[in-house]
Amino acid sequence: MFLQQVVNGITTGCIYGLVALGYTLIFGVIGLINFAHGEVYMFGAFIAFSVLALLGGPFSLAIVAVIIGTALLGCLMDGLVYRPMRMAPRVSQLITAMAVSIVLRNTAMLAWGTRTRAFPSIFPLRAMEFWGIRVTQLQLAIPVLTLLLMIGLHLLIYRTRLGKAVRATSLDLEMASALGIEPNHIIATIFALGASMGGLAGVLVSIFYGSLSFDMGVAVGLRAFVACILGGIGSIHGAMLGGLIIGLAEAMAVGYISPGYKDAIAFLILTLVLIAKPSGIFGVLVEKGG
Amino acid sequence: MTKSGSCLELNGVTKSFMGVVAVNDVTFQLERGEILGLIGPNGAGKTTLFNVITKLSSPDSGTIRFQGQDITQLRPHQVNRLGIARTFQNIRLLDELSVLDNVMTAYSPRVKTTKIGCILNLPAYRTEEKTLRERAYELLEKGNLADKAGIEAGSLAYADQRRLEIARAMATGPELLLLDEPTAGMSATEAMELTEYLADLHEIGINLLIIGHDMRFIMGLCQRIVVLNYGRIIATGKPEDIQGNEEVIKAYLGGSHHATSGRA
Repeated sequence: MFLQQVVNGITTGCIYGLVALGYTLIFGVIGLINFAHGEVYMFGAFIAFSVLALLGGPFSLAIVAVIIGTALLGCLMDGLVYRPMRMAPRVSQLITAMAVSIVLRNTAMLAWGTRTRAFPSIFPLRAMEFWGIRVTQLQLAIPVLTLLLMIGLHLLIYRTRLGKAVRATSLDLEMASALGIEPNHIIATIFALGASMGGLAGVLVSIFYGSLSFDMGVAVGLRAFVACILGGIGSIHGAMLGGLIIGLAEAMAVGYISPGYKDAIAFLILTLVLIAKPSGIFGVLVEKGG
Repeated sequence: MTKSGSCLELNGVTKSFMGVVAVNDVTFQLERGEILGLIGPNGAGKTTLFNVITKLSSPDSGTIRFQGQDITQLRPHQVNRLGIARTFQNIRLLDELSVLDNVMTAYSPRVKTTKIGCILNLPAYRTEEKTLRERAYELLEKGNLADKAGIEAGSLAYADQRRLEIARAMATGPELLLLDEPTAGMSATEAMELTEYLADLHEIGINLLIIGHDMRFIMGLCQRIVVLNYGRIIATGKPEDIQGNEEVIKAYLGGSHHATSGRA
């Protein structure tokens, strides 16, 4: 029972972590909580669904379409909505992000309907048994894929030139622009990166549960947001760790208390973190702007 | 009368913050090949003027021309790419990055390989990165920092941080370098070494505009000096003329009761 819940927790935790990366990357550079990020995750799932179920395309094409489609969505969101709001007060930006979220969710509702759709089963999800724990292949694949994406992102941010420009912009945007770095390019890149990670997470979840719906981003978006706060918003490693902790805590609550408390757990953790250590585990929260 | 030969030309530049006029109708030229000093009491508007030239803040009125081109409407990164680089009074390095990486960061906007090439770690990207690293080392050598290339910028001694900021600014390939109090916090010896370093930069054709409080340093290095007080130019001239200027002496001795206001 315990190990089974650990396995389940890691699976969902990885998903939360992937989505949380999008929040944390964007916050790290422009200090905005992009509340529409959960919707990007949902769009990722629907793009894959459309390519597979409606167009009958191969899985590889679906993945490419998700990466490009969500990256574009991220860039558009930034360019059309957030960029004009860049100098606006923080509260206005937050409200804008919520509006973007509502617009995207309703767009998806109009495009794909209100029904929960069945995700085409592309892989036979065979479950294996190890010492009494049921593990599907996908449950093994999700942590592996997440780990690979994390390593890739880490290398990108800490080893490459683009990463240095991102870090420079996030540490001191004014100074970076005085070095000739165009902040808007860096911000657009970050939106694209964060969005495609979120989009891929959406696809993984849809395959895992075999279903998707227009409002699937709400719950995951909120949990990923909590994961960010828990890990220390702005920290890449914190986002991933926060995601795993939330995932595991939820799985434990489902297994040992009652599935009904699943939703309460994330908010309980959020409350505790905000009381005990508002800067989160990796506490990199700094006063932005000014 | 416009002098097309000027490197930098400010015309009636004014900037105010919430009613306080920090820079008031400032007009001056920096000629090609010149080292120009900018002095004045605290709060005279010197740093604000730097921010306006590099477009970190926009002037309320007036025009700024660089090499004959109007840069008043440009954005900070565009100004930098045209050839104006700067340092900051309060040193703004990337403390957690290595000395070398600080310089490398300044190269990142002016390279050929695309973001995709960078993400995929293509051979073209790696070759370019190697060339840039060699160029960065050359700059560090000139600034006497080559042996510290691997350590974190934040752990450098104060004087070294100032020199690193200059080396990083040089990596952007400027024709005009704006230095905001480059000798602040330096010992006399360090300031002297810096004078030599800056003279070398001038030698290779870099124009310099320097804010300074250290009069010996400014008088020794600059060919001409502009004096600001309460945002206005009160004197312009050769160091020896400035030293004997009545109004300048009065501003420095009598203007200190306003010293806390207006600094940006």
